[in-house]
Amino acid sequence: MDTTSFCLSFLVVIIIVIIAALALTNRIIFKMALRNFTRRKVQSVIVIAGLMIGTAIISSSLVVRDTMINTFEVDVYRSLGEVDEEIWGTETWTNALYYKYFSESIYDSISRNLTKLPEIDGVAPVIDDNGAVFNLNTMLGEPSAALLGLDSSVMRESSFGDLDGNGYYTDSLAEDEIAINSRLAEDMDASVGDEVQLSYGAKDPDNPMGTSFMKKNFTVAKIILEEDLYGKANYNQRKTIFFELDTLQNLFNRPREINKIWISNKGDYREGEKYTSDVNQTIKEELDNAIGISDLGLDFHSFDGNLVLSSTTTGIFPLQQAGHLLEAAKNSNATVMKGLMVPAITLNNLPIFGLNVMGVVSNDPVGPQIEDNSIYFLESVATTYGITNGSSVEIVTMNLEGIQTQTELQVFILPTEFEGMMPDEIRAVTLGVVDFDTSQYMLHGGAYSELMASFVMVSGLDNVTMDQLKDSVTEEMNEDLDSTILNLEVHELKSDNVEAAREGGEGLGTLFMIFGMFSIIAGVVLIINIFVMLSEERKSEMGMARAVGMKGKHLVRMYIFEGSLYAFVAAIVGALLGLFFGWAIIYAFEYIFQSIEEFGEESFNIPFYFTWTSIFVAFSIGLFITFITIIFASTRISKLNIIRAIRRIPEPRPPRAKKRVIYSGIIVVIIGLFLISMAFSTEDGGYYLAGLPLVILGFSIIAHKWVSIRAAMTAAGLVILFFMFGPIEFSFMEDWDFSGMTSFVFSGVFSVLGAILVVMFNSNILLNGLQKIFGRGKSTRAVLKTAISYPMDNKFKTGMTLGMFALIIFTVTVIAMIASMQASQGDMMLEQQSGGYDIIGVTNPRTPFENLTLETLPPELQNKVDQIEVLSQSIVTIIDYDREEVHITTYGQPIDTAKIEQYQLIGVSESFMENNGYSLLEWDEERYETERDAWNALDDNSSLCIVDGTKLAFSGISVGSPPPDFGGVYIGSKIVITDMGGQNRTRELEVIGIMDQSFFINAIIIKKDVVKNEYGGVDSMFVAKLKSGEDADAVAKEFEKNYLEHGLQTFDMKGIINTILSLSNNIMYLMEGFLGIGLLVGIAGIGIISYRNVIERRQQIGMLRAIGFKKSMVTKSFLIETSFITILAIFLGIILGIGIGWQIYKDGFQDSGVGFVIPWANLLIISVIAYIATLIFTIYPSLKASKIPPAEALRYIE
Amino acid sequence: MAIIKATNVYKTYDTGKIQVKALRGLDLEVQKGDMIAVMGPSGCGKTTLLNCLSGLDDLTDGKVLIEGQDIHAMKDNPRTEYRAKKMGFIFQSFNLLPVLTAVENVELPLLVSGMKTKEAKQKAEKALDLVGLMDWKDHKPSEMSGGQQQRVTIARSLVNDPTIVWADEPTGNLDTKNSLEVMDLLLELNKKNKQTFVVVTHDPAIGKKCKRIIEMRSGVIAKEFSN
Repeated sequence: MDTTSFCLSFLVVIIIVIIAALALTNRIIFKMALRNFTRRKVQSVIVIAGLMIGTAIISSSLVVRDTMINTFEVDVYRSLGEVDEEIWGTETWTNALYYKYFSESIYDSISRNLTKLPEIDGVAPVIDDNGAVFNLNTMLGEPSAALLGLDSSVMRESSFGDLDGNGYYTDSLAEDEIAINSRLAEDMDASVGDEVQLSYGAKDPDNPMGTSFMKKNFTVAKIILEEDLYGKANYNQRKTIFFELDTLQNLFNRPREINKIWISNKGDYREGEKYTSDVNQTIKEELDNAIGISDLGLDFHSFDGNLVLSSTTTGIFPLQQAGHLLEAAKNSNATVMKGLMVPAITLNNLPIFGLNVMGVVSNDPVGPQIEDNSIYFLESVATTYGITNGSSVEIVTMNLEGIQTQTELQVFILPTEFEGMMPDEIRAVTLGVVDFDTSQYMLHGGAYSELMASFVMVSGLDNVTMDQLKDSVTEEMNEDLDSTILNLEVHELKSDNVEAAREGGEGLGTLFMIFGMFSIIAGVVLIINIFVMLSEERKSEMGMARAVGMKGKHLVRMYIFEGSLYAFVAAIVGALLGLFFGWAIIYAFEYIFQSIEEFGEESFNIPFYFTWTSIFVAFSIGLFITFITIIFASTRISKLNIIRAIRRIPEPRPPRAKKRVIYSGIIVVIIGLFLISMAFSTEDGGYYLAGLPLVILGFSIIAHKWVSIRAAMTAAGLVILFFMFGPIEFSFMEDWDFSGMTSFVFSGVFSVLGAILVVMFNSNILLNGLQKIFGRGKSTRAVLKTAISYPMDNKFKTGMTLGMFALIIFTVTVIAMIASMQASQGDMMLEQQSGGYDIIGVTNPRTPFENLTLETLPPELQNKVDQIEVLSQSIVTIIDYDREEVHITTYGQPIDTAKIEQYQLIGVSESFMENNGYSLLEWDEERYETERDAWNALDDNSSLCIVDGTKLAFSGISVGSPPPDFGGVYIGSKIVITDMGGQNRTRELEVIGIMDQSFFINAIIIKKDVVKNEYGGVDSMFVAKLKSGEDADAVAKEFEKNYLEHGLQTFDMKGIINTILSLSNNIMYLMEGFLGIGLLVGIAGIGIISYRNVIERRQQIGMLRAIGFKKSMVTKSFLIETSFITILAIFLGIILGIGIGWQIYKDGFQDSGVGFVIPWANLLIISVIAYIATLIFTIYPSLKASKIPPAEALRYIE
Repeated sequence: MAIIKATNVYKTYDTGKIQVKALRGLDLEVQKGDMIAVMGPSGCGKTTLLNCLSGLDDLTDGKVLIEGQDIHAMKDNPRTEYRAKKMGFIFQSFNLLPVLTAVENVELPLLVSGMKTKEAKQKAEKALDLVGLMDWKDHKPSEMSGGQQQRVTIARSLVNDPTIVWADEPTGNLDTKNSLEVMDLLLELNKKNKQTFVVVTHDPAIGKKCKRIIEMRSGVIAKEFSN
């Protein structure tokens, strides 16, 4: 039981104990309450129906939450199986993130220690990579299949176990066989025995940082069904190919290398997550201990009796990593030489292969003294290339990221004695020798970066032997190293995902709860109304009871007893009814998602699920709300004048406000001011929208001392409405957020309050008008008179009823308007989001396009494609921004506190700038007349950029334009970007435009050349416009097929946008439907009131019948009365809803060019349904009443 | 010719569990312009008789002729219309509509009969003037005393110039002074307008003011006196 449930249980127990204690000590009063409760069963049922709806809404929101949490959780369990934690790191390779490979020895070390822990029952080495696969039998393929390498011996002995629940392990596969999951099998229509071709990137034996692209054919030996993989290695439910680990290691040319370690905690796949927090620290410590210098790719070896530290994998390493060696060398007065080999690619524009510029520096005074900006050519090389001493040369070098640097150097010829000192294998690959600093420049292109070295050589030690030095330095380095050096981290995968699942479900439940808030408020109003009515009806009884000696507190108790009985029954029924509403919402959700092709029926099942805790919480909250309301209502109604009560004489209105009223006015003002102060401190405009009306209302209550109540309240209503809808904006509100749910709820509640005050205190104008219009018919005059006089006489009751119904209609109107405006935005959004392109394609960045143009497309595609634009991508980080002007945020957080986020640097060609259809939300209109001019400016100035729409919005693909005032970058912002490879390629960019789309996420768009030449960008993305009539989905698939080797994944852009739009529209309609539950509150409320009116007025009905009212006139009178309230409420609700809808339109839709839409048809249907339903509730009691013989009605005493 | 002629009138209330015989074969004739008092102890059937004679309640058996018309043979609507045009009612508990002012309460029967609002208002004011409440015309019942409320009821009962006025305990909720005032008013109107008054009362002082007194016992007329 969580804290909330515990507190609520405690509260419920307290309530029950208090009620029980009071009942025991006030038995007769309890008996009276019980009798009242059972006195009129139909009425009790209707009252319970009215009271329970608030609880039902809470309950349904919680049930939706439960189901969603369960769905997401099950998905996590299904995906992760036994894996509770993972160890992995990422590396940036040009423009994409990959799991970094590391030595399996780390696994060996970790596994040895971790498996001893009682909380851990499995540790396994894994390779998790991807590749493109193509079925040679069916000619169908998947560009990005997961390649999962598992060690069967480990799997067998640990809790991970087999793959299919039937003893299947990957070690039964032959070298040329694979097992695949059924998801992949379906995709490429594969059967056992089919031959498939796998394209993958293997480690390049010649370049440790490079990748060679390989192809190999395999036979499908086994297809593992999805359901069998449940809780197994169905990791992320991807399309997966399973290998035995060493097969994949050999395939990738990475013997004894892995890129992940799976850890399973004890217990099954559901229970393990509980132990994550216990074991996380131990795993991290073990990981730190396991990492040694060999994992950095560093190794010691001796050369001519000298100790050399060099990189065995990448050829270079950060000099900082040799810190301990350099320190030790210094302490023993050793000679140290640092060297760096930089690959040269051209010499005076002539291509050269396999030769490096070697930068050296030594603390040996007799060593080579090399001038700056000079190169000492090896004599043999100088001869080969015709370089003479004293000349100058131009050399282009390239680093591992492929970034090139051009350097001009003065030529010297290296003295032969130095050349003779070089080992043969070094001499064979050396072009010439430069100063160490110069070599750093040639590696980094002048930008500041970490100093790199290819080797550090130590010789001539005092006191220690080379072996001793090696051992002590190795020990020091190992101790110093932790997992961060390899970028390895322990990921609490399952608990993080389960947490995210819970948050997701919680969020959805909260959304429903907030939307249901109006109905809950309406429900509270209804409860007050019901109890005020009950008290009116029993007034003479209460007077009598008081006359015979019952005190006021006894009456309060009687009502509390009776109310508690209603509250208990209603809370129970409501909580259970919420189950049904919840089920209906889930069903609708599932239907909406399944109706969208892309999700498919099977992949989107939302199994209905709830916990009894939620039902109990709903019961408790419902009970609590009803109970508090009842206490308030009981206290109010028990204050009566005995004689007036017995004789059913209404309480007279005080002519002017008494002190007590003035005090209450002051309290209301204080509460209002407090809420306004909250708006200042939280910048949530919702508090202002609640505070200001209260201040106005409070002052009006005080003013009632000097002016009539009518004048005071009318003025209050008008001023509130003026503030809500008028053009009032103060400068201090500029930064306030008026888009939150608090604003929506309070603007609804208080604008309805304002309107009700105006209407109720000026009802005579309305009444006279109505009588003039409709009172012309012979019989209608009398009917109309009675029908309107009743509601106008009891302004409190009518006001509450009107408010309750108007509030609900208001909400439904606003949501219907948002839904319509969103729907009508569709076509425009389609154009804005797609930029007029039909297909977007993204390749594996390791296999970019080489020369993709319309002309190089295969003929079958050339016929279908009208335009194709290739975009270059690279990954950058924003490291600085214009602090004074810009509050740059990443996902809504100031950048200072946000995690470093990766941004896509997208390079666009001149023709893309000229032809793309992406409109700009904003651009520098002072400098560029049109949007096109802004796009074209990118070509002229490489320090300008255009950013995508998500920079202003939250994350992911958001539907609807981002709010323009969201605190992101804006026109004129200066951002400083840097590359992710540590090369310090920094560049300041000025934002000149913000795209009106959010398809490219976190994108900074600049000139293509810069991305390619300076940031190692590759052509890994394209957008294509098709010839008219071509099926985007089919052409997209054809693209994939043709570029399978590139791992191309394509998307039908318009199809996806349409899917998102229709999903979003349907969810809005679902919300509208959910709010419809609120209508039930209203309808039930009016039904109850009508029913009670009939009972309350029976005697008067008898009199009316006696003086000549026909049966039909009695019925008509009630129907007109109900119609008057319902229609007035619908009218007010719709008018106010349209008012708020207009503000929402101005803030959120107008800029996107959508017209203001009022969904009249929709509103008419809702209004008619609501109206007819209330009439049905009224017809029955009023027909029944009219049929009672007048004498009987006159005799009627309750 | 008798304006009211009741012959062998029976009225039985069936509550499901028990049957209450309120009227047991009652015969009665009332002449036009008469003012009769129906008296008797509680539960003897006085109000039932009034309700049955006026057509507010149905008979179990027997016949009631009003101005020679069998009122119980009429369907509900014509019977209601007949009541609206020919009858006026005064009740013990006044039975004014609390949401209407005095004048609005009085004009209601006229509006029911289809009279235009303006005309109805004038007539209602005249009726209120007749009962001495012109100054109170815009007050609601809750703002008036019991006597004043009953005067409004009287004005309402007379506003449509009825042939018969039925008064059920018209002074039941009033003190002696107010009771006598109300009764004098009724007598004066009876004399002036020649309308027939049937007054149910248990107050002998009130009864004495009527020309004829009928005393009921267990659903039948036990005695009859003339003053």
